[in-house]
Amino acid sequence: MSTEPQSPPAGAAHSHGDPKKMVKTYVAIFVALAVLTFLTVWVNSLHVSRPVTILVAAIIALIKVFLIATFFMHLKFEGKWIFGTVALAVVGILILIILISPDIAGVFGGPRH
Amino acid sequence: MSSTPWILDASDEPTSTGVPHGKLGIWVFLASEVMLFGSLISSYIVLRLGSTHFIVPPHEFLSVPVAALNTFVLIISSVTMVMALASIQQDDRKGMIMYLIATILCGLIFLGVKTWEYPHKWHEGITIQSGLFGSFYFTMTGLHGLHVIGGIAFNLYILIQGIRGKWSSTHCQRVEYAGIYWHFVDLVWVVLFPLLYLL
Amino acid sequence: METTASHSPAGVHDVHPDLPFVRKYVFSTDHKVIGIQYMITSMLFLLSGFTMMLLMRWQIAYPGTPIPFIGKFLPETMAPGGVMLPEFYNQLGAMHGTIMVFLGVVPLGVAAFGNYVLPLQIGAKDMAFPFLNMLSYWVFLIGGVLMLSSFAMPGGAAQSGWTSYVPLADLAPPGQTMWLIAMTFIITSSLFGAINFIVTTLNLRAKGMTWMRLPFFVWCQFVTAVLLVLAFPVLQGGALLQLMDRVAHANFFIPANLIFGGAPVERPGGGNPLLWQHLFWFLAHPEVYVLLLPEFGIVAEIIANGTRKPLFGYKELVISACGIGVLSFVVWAHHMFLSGMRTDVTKFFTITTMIISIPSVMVLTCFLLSLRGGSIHFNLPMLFALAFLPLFGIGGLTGLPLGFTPTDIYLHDTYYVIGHFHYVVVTGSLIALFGGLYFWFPKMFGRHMNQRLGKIHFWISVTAMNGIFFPMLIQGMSGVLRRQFDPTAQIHNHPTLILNKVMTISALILALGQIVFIVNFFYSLFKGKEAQSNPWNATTLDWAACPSPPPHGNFTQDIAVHRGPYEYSVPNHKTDWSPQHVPDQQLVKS
Repeated sequence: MSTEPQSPPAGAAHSHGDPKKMVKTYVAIFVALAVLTFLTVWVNSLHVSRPVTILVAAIIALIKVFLIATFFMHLKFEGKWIFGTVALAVVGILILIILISPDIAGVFGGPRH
Repeated sequence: MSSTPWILDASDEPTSTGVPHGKLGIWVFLASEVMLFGSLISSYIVLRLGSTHFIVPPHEFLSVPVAALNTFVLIISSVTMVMALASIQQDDRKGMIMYLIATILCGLIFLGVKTWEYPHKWHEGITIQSGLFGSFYFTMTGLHGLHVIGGIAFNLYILIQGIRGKWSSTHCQRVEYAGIYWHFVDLVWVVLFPLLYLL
Repeated sequence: METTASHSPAGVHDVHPDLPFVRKYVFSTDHKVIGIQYMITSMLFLLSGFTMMLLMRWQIAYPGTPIPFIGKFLPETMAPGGVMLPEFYNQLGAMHGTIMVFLGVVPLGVAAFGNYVLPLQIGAKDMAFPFLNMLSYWVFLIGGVLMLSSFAMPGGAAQSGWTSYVPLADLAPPGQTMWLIAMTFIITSSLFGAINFIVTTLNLRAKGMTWMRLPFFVWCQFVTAVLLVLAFPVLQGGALLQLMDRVAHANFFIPANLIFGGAPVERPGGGNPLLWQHLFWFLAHPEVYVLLLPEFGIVAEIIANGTRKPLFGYKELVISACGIGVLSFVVWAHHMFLSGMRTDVTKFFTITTMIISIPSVMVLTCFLLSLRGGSIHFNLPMLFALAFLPLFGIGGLTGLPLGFTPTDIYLHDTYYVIGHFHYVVVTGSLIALFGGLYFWFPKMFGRHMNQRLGKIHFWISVTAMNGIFFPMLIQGMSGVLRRQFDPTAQIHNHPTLILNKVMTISALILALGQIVFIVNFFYSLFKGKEAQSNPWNATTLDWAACPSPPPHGNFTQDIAVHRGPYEYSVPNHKTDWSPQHVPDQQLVKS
C-alpha cells in the first residue's frame, strides 16, 4: 500500500521573504495606494459620465484590494490552502451577488420590483 | 511558549498541511468576514440599482475630503502595521513597538474622525431612518467601526505583550495574525469608501 | 518549543490530570467533554422543541378544546382557560422550527458527534483551538437560553415563522428582536466551531492519514464546516439589517407605502422584502445540507461496520459530499418560487435543484449497494441505519416535485412541504443521529445501551414518525395549508381533518417512545453492560486505537495510519476487521 508523503512542516515566520528587502516593497505599495486614493477622488470630482465614474472607481478599488491582500497580507507567499480559503469566499460572494441581482437590482433585462 | 490558553493558541507542532493552525484559523475567519461584509455590500449594490426610493444625497453633504483623509489614515496604519512585523522579524523590538503605537494611533484617529462625521451627517438630515442611503451608510460604517475597535484591541494586546518582550524574530506569528486582521479592516474600508462616498 | 515531542505517549501530553472539577467537566477544553456537553444540551433542546410540537398538534387536532394536563399551567397570555391563543400558536411554530434546526439537530450532528468523533477518527489529541471550542459551546448555550427565554418577552416569542419573513418580522412584537440577538450568538458559536473543524481536519491528521484515507464521517463534517463558514455570515448580515430595521427604524426591508395592520407605516421605505428571503435562504439551503451531511457520515460508519465489508464507492461518496457542498450554494431560491421572484430566475433554480438531487441519490445508492453481499449484523445502530435508507429516500423523492416551479406553486404552502421536510430531517437525520448515539455510546461512556429497550425505542419511533408525517403528504396534496391555527376554518380541509387526529395520536406515541430512550440512556449510563475498547470490531481510529472512554489526549500510543478506513473482511487477514493503524505484517495470517 502506497503512503502519500506528508507535506513538510513549515519554517513558520520566515517564509515571507527577507524582511529587509520587503520594507522597500511596503513603501512602494504605500505610495501606490496613496496615489490611487488621490486619483479616485480626483476623477470623481471631474463630473465625467456616470458609467466612467463607476468603472474607474471599481477598477481603482480592485487594484487597491489586490495590493493590500497580496503584499500586506502576504497572500503572495501563501500556499494552496490559504489561497483556496480566500478563493472559496470570493466565489461564494460572487454567487450571492450575481444570483440576487436579476431579482432585486432588475439587471439582465426584466422588470424591476 | 506561554501556557495561557488563548483564542488562537497555536502550537509549534508540525501540521499536516505545513500551515500553522493560527494562520489557517485567521484566514478561515476572514473568509467568513468576507461573506459578512459581502452580504451587506451585495445588498447595498442591488438595492441601489433596483430600488426606486434609493435617494443618494449630493456629494457636498457627504464630506468626501474627510472620508478621503480617513482612507489615507487607514492606509498609513496598514503600512505601519506591516513595518512592525518587518521590524520584529529583524529582532528590532523598539521599532516594532513604535510602529504598533503608530498603528493604534491611526486607528484612533479614524474613529475620532468618524465621531465627528456621524453628528455632521445627522445635522445634514442623513440618519439611519431618513432613507435607504442613510440606513446602509450607518449600518455598514458602524459594523466596520466595530471591526476597527476589535482590531485596535488586538493590536493593543500585541503591543502590551511586545513591551513585555514576548515577541522575537522566531516567535512573532501573532504579530502577523494581528496584522492580517488589521489589513482586512483596511481592505473593507477601501471598498466601502468609493461605494458610500464617491458613487 | 517544548511541544515538539508531538508523538510522545499520552502520559506526557496529559500534563494536568488533576484539574479541578469545574475545569474538567464544566469549563473543559477537552473535545470529548465539549462533545458530550453539546450532546446533552442539544437533546434537551430537541425535547423542548418536541414539546412545543405536541402543543401545536393538540390545537390542530382538537381546535378550541383545552390542552389536557399542561393547559392549566399556561399563563393567560398564552392559553386562557387552557385553550391556545392564535398568537401563542404562531410563537410555538416559529420557535419549534428555530429550536429544532439551530439548537437541536445541527448541534447534535455537527457539534456533538463532530466534536467527539472527528479528532478521534483522524488521530488527533484534541481540536486545533481547544479554548475556542469551549467558547463555542458557551456562546451556543447563551444563544439557546436567550431563544427560550424570549417566551417571557412582552408579546411573547418570535412569531413570524422560523424564516422570519419581512416586513411582518420587521414590525412584529419585541420577541423578534430577541430572536435576532439569540441567532447572533448561535451564528458566532457555529463559526467558532466550524473554524475549529476545518483547521483540525486540515492540520491535525495523524501520520499517513491522507485525504482518501479519511473516514467518510470526517469528509462530511469537513464539508459541513465549510458550508457553515461561508453561509452563516450571510444570515448574520441579513439579521443585522433586520435588527437595524427593528431597533433603529432603518428601511432595508420596508417597501415604500407599506400598510400594516390597516395603518400606513410612517417610514420612507424603499427596501425590498425579497432581499431578506434571498439572504435568509442563502444560509438556510446550505443549512439543510448541514442537517444532512453529518448524518450521511454517521450512516456510512455504521453500515460499513454492520455489513463487515468495505463501503461501496468510497471515492464516489466523497465526490458526492463535495458536490453537494458546492451545489448547495446555488439552489436556495427554490424556497421562494411563490414569492414573486422573476420567472427566468426560477428556471435557473429549478435546473440547479434537479442537478443537486444527483449527488444525493449517489450517496443513497452507494449505501444501498454497500449492503449487497454483506453479512449484515442487525445490531441497534444498524437497525437505525437501515431504517434511514428508505425513509430518507421518501424524504428526498417527495422533494423533487417541490423543485419544479409548476408543481411547487400548488404544493408550497401546504402540509406537503412539512411532510417532505420532516421526512428528511426526522426520519432521515434524527434516525441517523439516534443510530450514531447507540453506536458511539460505548465509546463515550464505556457502557453499552440496553438492546431490548433500544429495539422498543426503534420500533415505536419509526412507526410513530411515519404515522405523523405520511398523512401530512396526503393532506398537502388535498390542499390543506400549513401554518394554520384552526384547520376547521376552511371547508376544503374537512375531508382530511380526521388525519389530524391520526397525526396527533402518533405524536403522543412518539413521545412515549422517547421516554423509553431517556430511561435507557440513564440506565445504561450507570448500569449498562461494560464495553470493550472496540466492541463493534471497527477499523477506524476512534474504535481501534483508543480505550473507551478515551483518556485526556485520546491515544496511548503513536498513531501511524497504514490503510483506508473501511478494510473489513480482507482475505488472508487474521480478523475480519483491519484497523487503520495496524501494520500489515501484524494482520496477515501466518
